[in-house]
Amino acid sequence: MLLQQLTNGFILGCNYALIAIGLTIIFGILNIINLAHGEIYMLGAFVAFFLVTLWEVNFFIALVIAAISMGILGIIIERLVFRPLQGKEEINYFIVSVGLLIFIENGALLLWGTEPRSMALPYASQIVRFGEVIVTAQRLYTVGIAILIILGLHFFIQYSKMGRAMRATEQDREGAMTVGIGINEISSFTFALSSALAGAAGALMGSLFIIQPMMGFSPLIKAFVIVVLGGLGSILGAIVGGLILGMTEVLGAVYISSAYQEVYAFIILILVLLFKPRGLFGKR
Amino acid sequence: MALLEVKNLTKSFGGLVAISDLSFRIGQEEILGLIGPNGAGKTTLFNLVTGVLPPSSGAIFFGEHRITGKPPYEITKLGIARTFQSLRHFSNATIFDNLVVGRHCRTRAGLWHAILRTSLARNEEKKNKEKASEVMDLLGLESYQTDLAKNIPQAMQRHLDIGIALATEPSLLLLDEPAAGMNPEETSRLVELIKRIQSKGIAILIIEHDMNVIMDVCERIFVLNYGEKISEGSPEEIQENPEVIETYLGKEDFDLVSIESN
Amino acid sequence: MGFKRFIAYLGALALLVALPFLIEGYPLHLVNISGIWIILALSLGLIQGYIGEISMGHAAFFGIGAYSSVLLTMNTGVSFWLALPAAGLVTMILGYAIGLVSLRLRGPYFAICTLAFGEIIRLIFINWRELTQGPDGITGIPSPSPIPLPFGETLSFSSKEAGYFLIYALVCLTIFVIYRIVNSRMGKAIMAIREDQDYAECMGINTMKYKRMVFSISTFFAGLAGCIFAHYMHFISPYSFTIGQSFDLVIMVIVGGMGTIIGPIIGAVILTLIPELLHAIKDYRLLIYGLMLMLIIIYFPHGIAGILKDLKDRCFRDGKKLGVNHGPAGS
Repeated sequence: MLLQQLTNGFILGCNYALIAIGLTIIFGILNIINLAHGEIYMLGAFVAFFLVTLWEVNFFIALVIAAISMGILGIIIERLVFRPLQGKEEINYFIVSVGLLIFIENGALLLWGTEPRSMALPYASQIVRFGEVIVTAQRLYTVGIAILIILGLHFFIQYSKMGRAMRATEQDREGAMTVGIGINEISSFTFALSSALAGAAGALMGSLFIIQPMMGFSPLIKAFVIVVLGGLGSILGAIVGGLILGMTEVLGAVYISSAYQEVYAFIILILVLLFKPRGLFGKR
Repeated sequence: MALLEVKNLTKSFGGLVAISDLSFRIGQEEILGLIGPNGAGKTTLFNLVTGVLPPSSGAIFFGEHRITGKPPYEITKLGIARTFQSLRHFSNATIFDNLVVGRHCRTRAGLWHAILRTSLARNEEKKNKEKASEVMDLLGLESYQTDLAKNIPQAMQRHLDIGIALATEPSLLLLDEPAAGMNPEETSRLVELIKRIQSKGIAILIIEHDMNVIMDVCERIFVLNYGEKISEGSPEEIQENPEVIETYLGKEDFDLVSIESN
Repeated sequence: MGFKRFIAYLGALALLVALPFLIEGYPLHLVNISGIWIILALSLGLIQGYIGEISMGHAAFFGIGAYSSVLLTMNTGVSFWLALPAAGLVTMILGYAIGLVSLRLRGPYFAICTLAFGEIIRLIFINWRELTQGPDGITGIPSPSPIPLPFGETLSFSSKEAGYFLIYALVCLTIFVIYRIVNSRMGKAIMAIREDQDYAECMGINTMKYKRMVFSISTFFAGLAGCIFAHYMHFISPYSFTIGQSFDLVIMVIVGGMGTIIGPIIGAVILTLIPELLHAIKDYRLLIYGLMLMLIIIYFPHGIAGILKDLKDRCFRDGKKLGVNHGPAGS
C-alpha cells in the first residue's frame, strides 16, 4: 500500500517538478517572479484538450503542439509585458505578472466557462502492474515524458550554446553582456522555454485530471513553494522539491482532512519564506 | 576614555576573511584617516561599526556603550553617523526634506502627536527648520533648499549626504570617500568643511583615496590591507613607512606624486 | 488656507451632506458600497503607497473585522457602537501579529506571505463552522442600534441614508487620520523607508517599528470597514473575503495611484462604479482590471492620480505660455 502511495506521489511529483522548473529558471536567469506561470500551464492544458477532443489529434502530438504554442506565447508575453519594464524595480515585474494572471484567467473563464472538462483518452484506463503497484497507462506515459523532458533540459542547459549563455547570464549578468550575450535574446528564450515547460506540464496534468480555467492557481502556489524550498534558480532544487511535495501531498491526503491540508501547505510556505528564503540549493 | 574603541574585530563571509583581528580607537574630536587599497575591507569596517553587518567576533565600544550587534538605528541614535561610498540620499525629495529625515532620531512626536497635531509636534517642526538651516549653512546648501536632490550638482549632493548625517547630531562621523569625483576646487572646499565639522566637536573617521585630503585633515592615519591593520601613526610616519609604500607602489589609488608636491 | 480652497472644501462638504437626499435606492446603495471600498483602499494604500510593499491578503482583515463585530453583537449582545471600535482593535491585534511575521520579508516574498496568510484566514472562515457558520455565512445581522436623542426621539440607522452618513463619516475619519500621519514626522519616516529602507535605518529610523505601526493602523481601518459592511449588508460569508477581493484592492490602489491619498479613492470609486454604470462590460470586469493593472504598471506607474497631476501641471504651464500667469522669468 505504501509503495502504491509513494508511486502515485512520485508521478505527481514529476509533474510538479516540471511546472516548478519553468518558474525557477525565469527567476534564476532574469530575476523575475512570474505569477502568471500557472495560467500558461492552464492554457497548455486547454490547447491539448481542444486538439485531442475537437480535432482528434494524437495526444503526444497535442502535447508537443501545446508546448510549442505556449513557448511562442511566452515570447510574446516577454516582449509585450515584461521587457518594457527593464530597468525598473523588481517589484514591478511581480505586479505586472499579477495583472497578467488576472487577465488570462478571466479571459479563459469568459471564453470557456466554468464547466470542467477532461480528455477522454482511449487507453487512459488501461492498467499496468508492477508487482503490488498499479499504475494507469496514462500516468505511466506522463511520468515517462516528464522524465524525458527533464533529462533533455539538463543536456540542453549543460551542453548547448544557448544553454551555456543562459548559465552565464545567471551567474553574472553584466559580465555576460560584455562578452556579447544579448540580454534580450536570453530573455525571450528563457520565457519561451519556461512557458513551453508549463504548457507541457499543463497538457500532461490535463490528461490525468480535470481541466478548467481556474486550474492554474493551485499549481502556481505549489510551484512557488517548491521553488522557494528547493532554492530560487536551482533546477535540481525544483526537481527535488517537486518530488517531496508530490509525495507529501499524496501521503497527507490519506491522513489529513482536505481543507486543513491547504492550510498546512500555506503554513509551510510561510515557514519556508521566513527561515529558508534561499531554499535548500539556492544561489542568492 | 576613547570615543570609539574597536577590539579584535573579525568578520568573515564563509571562507573569506574580510576583517582580521582589528583593533583601534578614536579619541573625542579626533580625525582619523583610514586608507588602503580597494577591497581592503574599509567599507566593511564601516558596516560593522554602524551595525549594518554583525561581526564574526570581537567587540565595538562607543563611549561606555557596547554597540556590537546593535541595529543601525540604535547606533545612530547613540551618536554615530555615516555617509556611503556612492551618493545615497532621497533623490526625489527636496534638500530640506532630506535633512529633516536626519532629524528623526532627535525628535519624538509619535502617532498621537501626528493625528492631533499637538504642540510638541509643532515645536519639533520648528526646531527641525532651525537645525536644518544650520546644517545647510555649514554645507553651503541654502540656495538649493527647495530643489530636488537629484537636480543639484554632484559635489553638492555629496555635501547633502554629509548634511543628512550631521542632522542626526552625531559625535562621530564616518565619511566614506567623500572626495570621490570632485575636482581640486571642490576638494579643497571639502577639506574646509571637514575642519569646520571637527571644530563643532565631532570626531571623524574618514576613508579616502585622495591623499591630499588625508594628509590635510587627519591627525592620525591607519592603513588597512586584506582586512589587517598594517600600520598606524601620524601622516608623516605613514608616508615614510616602507611597508605602506610597498603596498601601494604601483596602485593607482595612492597618489605619491601629489603628496610630494604637498 | 486660501479662500478659494476653503470654498472648494465647503462645497465638497455640502455636496457630501446633500447627496443622500438627491439620490436613493440602488444608486445610493452603490455609493455606500463605494464608500466601504474607499476605506479599504485607503487602508491598503498606507501599506502600498507609504511603506511601499504590496499586500495581497488585505481582504482577510476586512473579514476579521466583519466576523468579530458580528460575533460581538449577535452572540454576546454588545451594542454596535462598542463593537465597531472593538472590531477595529481585534483586527489590529491580529494584523500586528501577522505583520510581525510578514514584515521581516520584503518585495515579492512579503507579498506572497500576505497572500498565504490571507488564504489561511479565508480557509478558517470557511471551515470553522462553530464560529462563522462556514460557507453558508451569517444572516440577519442587525443594523447599528438606534441612538437615543433628547425629547424621546431616536436616531435609527436602518435606512440607506443613515448607512450613508455612517459610512462616509468613517471615510472622512480615515482620510483625516491618514492625512495627519502622512504630513507628520511619522509620515516622513515612513516615506524614507519606502524610498530606501536600509538607508533610512542607517539614518536613525527604527524601520521595523514603523512598518509594524503602519501595518497595524492599516488593518485597524480595514477592520472598521468590515464591521460597517456587515451591519449594512445584514449578511456576510467567506466569499466576500477572498483573494479576489484582495486583488481588487491591490488593483484599486495601483490603478488609482500609489503614494497619494486621492489615488486609492479614485481607484475605489472607478472600480466599483464603472462596472455598474456600464452594464455591457460587467462580465468583463476582471479581464479589464488585469489589463488596466498591466497598462498602468508599464506606462503610468503613478496611476490615474499621476495622470491627472501631469495634466494639471501641463494646463498651468500652458496657461503661463498664453500669458495668463507671468511666472518669474528664467529659473
